[in-house]
Amino acid sequence: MTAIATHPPKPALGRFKLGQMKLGPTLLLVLMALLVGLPLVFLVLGSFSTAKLPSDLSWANLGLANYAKVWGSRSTYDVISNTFIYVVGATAFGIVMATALAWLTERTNMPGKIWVYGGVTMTLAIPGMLQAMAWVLLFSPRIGFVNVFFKNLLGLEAMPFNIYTLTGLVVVEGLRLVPTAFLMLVPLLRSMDPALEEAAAMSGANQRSTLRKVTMRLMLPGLVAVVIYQAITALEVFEVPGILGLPGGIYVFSTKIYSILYTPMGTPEYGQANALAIIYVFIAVAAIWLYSRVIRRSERFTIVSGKGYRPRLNDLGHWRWAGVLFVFLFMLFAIILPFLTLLYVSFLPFLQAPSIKAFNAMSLRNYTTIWNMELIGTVMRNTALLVVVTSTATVVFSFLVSIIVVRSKFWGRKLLDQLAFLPHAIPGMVIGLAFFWMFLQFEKVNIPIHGGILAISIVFTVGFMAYGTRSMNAAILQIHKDLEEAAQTSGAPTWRVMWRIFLPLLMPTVIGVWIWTMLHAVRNAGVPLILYEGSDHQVLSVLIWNLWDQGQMGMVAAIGTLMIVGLLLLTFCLRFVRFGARA
Amino acid sequence: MNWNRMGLQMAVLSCAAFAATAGYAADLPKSTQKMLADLKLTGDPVVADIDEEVHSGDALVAAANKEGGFDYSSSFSVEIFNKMTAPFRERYPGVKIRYSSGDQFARNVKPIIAYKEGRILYDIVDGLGVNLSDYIDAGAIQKTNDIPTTKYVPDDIKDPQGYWLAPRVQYWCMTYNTNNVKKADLPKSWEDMLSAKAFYNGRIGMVNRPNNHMIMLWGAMGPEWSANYMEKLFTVVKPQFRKEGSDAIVGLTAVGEMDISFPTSNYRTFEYDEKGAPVAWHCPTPVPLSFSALVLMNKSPNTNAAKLYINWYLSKEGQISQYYADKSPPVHTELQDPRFLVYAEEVKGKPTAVRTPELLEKDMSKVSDLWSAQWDKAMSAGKR
Repeated sequence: MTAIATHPPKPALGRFKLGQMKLGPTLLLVLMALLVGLPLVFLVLGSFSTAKLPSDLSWANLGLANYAKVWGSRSTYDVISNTFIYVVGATAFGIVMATALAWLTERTNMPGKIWVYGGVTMTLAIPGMLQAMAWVLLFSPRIGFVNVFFKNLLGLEAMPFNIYTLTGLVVVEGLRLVPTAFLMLVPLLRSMDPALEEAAAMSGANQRSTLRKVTMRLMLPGLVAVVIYQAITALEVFEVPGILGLPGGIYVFSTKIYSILYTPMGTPEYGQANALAIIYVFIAVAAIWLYSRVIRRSERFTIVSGKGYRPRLNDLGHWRWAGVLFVFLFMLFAIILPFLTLLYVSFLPFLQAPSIKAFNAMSLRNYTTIWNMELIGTVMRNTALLVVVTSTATVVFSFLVSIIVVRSKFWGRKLLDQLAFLPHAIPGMVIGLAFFWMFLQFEKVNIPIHGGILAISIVFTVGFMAYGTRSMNAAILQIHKDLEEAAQTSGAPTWRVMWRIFLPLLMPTVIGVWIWTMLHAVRNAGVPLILYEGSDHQVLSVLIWNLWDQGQMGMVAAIGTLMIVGLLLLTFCLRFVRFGARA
Repeated sequence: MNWNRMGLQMAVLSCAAFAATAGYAADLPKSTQKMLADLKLTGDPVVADIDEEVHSGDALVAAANKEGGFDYSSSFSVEIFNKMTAPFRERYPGVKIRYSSGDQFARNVKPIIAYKEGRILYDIVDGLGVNLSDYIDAGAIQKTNDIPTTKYVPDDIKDPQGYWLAPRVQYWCMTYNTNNVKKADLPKSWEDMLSAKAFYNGRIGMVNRPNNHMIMLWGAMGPEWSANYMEKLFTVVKPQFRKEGSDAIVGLTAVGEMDISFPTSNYRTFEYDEKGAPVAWHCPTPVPLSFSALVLMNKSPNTNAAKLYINWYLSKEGQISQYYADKSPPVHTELQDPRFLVYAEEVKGKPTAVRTPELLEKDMSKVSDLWSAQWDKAMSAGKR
C-alpha cells in the first residue's frame, strides 16, 4: 500500500478536455443549481405561507405564523433528545454491523460469503412499513411470535423483548441501514492496497493491532462519509419510527413532520411542515461542510493506486466459524425472521398467531387477488417506467457530476459535489413537498410536469444523486489516470476513452448504482404519495401504501414476499455471473 | 333513522309490491341477480322496483356513452369497488369508470388544488369530510339535485341546494378481540371507558382520527365534556397510539395486539369477523355517525357519465351493491332495514352523535388543536 501524495500526473482527460470544455460543466452546474436550489426556494417560501392550500401561495399571505406555531411549541423541543439518541444509536449500530460484515466478506477467509452478498441486500427493496410490520409481529410485547416463544420456552412471567422502545427503534433502523452502508463500505475495503497491512505484519504487529492501527485508520475518512450519509438517512426516515415509536409514546423529528403533513384535519399543514423542516437545511449545510472536510483530508491519504492487486485475506483460523455465526445471527434477525413473517402473513386471510388453525386457513388468495387486480397492469407499467427513467438518469447525472468533480479542474466542481449531496439531507417528504409546490407554479406557465411519473422521477433522481455521486466518485478515483493518458497518447478521442476505458471499468459501479436506485425507487412511498395524481399515475409503493391504509395486510405481505424473492434471484444471478467470470 | 317505523313501512310495501316481483329478475344484470341471491333477496318485495328505479332516461345514457366514461375518486379499495359496481358496468358497458383510491390527501386535497389550477382530476369526488368547505368556497361543485334518485337520500344527509349528498353513512365505534374481552365487560358509554381500569395502559389501541369519533362527541356532549374526556383519555386511560389507520388496526386487534381498538367501523370489523377472526364490534353511547359528501365537480368534462353513475349509485341496486361489497348501510329511504346493517343490535335504539358538515366547519379545528396538544404531550414521554 502506498500513501500517495497529492501530486498525481495531470490527466489528459481532465486537463485538456474537461478542463477546457467549460460550457458542459457550467451547464451541468446551472442545471443542478436549478434542480436543488429552486425547490429549496419554494421550501423557504412555503414555510412563510399561511395559505391553506399550496396553490394559494402569494405574497399577500406570507408571515411568521408557521414558525411561531412549530418553534413556539414545547413539544417540538421534546423530540430533540429522542431524535438525537435514535439517530446516533441507529447509525452507530448500523455502521458497526455493516463494517463487520464488509470486513468479514472482503478481508477474511470466512466461508459462505456469497450468502452475505445476496442476503444483505435482500431487504433493500422492502418498504419500511412492511419491515416494521414484521418486527411488530415478531417482537411486540403483547403478541410478538419470538417473544411468546421465549416466554413459553423459559417459563418467563413477562415478554422478554419490547420493540416499542427507543432501543427497539435503534435496533430496527440500525439493521435497515446495514445494506446501504455495506454496499458503500465494500468498495472501500476492496480497493485498499494491502501493502501497509503487510508491512505491519512484517513488523511483528498481530492481526488485531493491524486491523485497529492500519486497516481501520485507512478506512476512517471513507467511514466518516458513510456515517454522515447514514445518519442523515436515519434522521429522515419516518415509517419505522412511526409504526414502532407511536405505541411507546416516542416521537422523533421525522414523525413529527409526518404528523403535521397527515393531520386529523385532512388538509396537511404545509406551511408548518416547511417551517419545521427548515432545520434539515441547516443540518444539510453542516453535514456538507463536515463531509467536505473529511473528503479533503482523505485525499491526502489516497489509498488507491493504479496497480492491479487483490487485498490480503486475513486467516481467521477457527474464528471464521464465529464469523459465520455472527453473519447467521444477523441474517436471522434482519432478514430470515422478517421474511418468514411476511411469507406467513401473505398466506393468511387475516393476521393471527401461528397455530394449526392458522396453517389450515392458509391459501394463495392474497396472491391471486393481486394478480387479478385491474390496476396492477398500470401500476407495474408505471413502476417499470419510473425505475428505468430514474435509475438511468441517476447513473448518467451522477457520472457527469463525478467525472467533473474527480477529474477536472472546473472552478465549480466542489459546489457541484455539494449540490449533489444536499438533497439527501432533506427528508423525502419535505423535498417532495418543495417540488410539489414548484411543479404547481410550473402549471401556471403551462409546463405540465405535475402529477405524472416524470415529476416523481425528477425528484427521485435529484434525491438519489447523493448516493450515485458518492459511489461514482470512489469508483472514478480507483481508475488510474495512466490508462486515460495512454489512450490519449495513442490519439483516442474523448468519447472513445469514455466508451472503451471508463465504461467497462466503471460497469460494476454503474450496475450497482442502477440497481440501488431501482430498489429505492420501488420502495419509496413518501415522494410518490405527495406527487402522483390519479390512478393512471399510481406506482407500486403507492399501491402498497393504499393497501396498507385499507388494512389489507395479507396483500401487502404478498407483494413484499414477491419483491424479496425477486430481488434475491436478481442479486444471486448477478453474483453468480460475476463469480463465474472470475473463475 | 327509526328502525321500528322503517320495519312497518317495509311490511306495507311488502304486501303491495309482492305481486309485481314475478319475472323482474330475468331483466336484471347477472351480477345483480347473483347479488340478490347471495343476500337472499330474490323475490323480496323490497327489491320489486330495483330495475325500474335505475332508469334515468335514454338521453342521459346516450350522452354518457358519448363521453365514454368518467374519473371517480373514493375510499373503497379497488376490489370492493369492482364488486360494488359490477351491475353498473354490466348495464352501461359503454361508460368506463376510471377509479382511483388513496389517502385523504390524494382523494380530497389534490382534486381541489388541481381545480384551482384549472384542471379536473376527477369528475366525482366521494368521501369529502373536512375539505367540503374548500370545494364550496372555490365554487368547484355543480348541483346534482336534478338526478332522479337523489330523492331517495334522506334530507338530513344532503345539501338543500343540491351541491352535495351522502351516499354512505358510517358508524365509528370499537372493535374488540372476543378471545380477550367479554362483551359484558365493554363500556356502555364513552364515559365508562374512562373508568374501565381493566383496559388502562395500552390495552386499548387508538388511531389519530378525532374526525371519526371526537368531533361527533363534541357535537353531542359539548366542549367542556369533550375537553375533560380527552384529558382523561390521554392521561388516565393511556391507550396505545398507533400509526396504522382505522382499517389496519382492526387486523391488529384480531391478532391480539390490543384488546380493543377505536374508532373503527362496523363494516370493516364485519369483514374480519366473516373470515373467522376473533373480533366483534361494540358501540358505547352515543353512537358516532358520520356521512361523507359526494360532489360532482364543476366544469366536469364527463358530467353526463358522472350523473348516470350517481343515479345508479343512489338507486336500490347501487345501494344494495354497496352493502353487498362493503357492508356499508344503504342511505336509500326505502332500505332502512336492519337486514342491511351489520351489528345492527349495537346501533338500534341508541342515541347517535352525528358529524355534520356544519359541525366540521365550525368546530373541527378546535377539536383538532385540543386533540393534537394531548397527542403531542403523550408523545414526549416515551420509553427508553
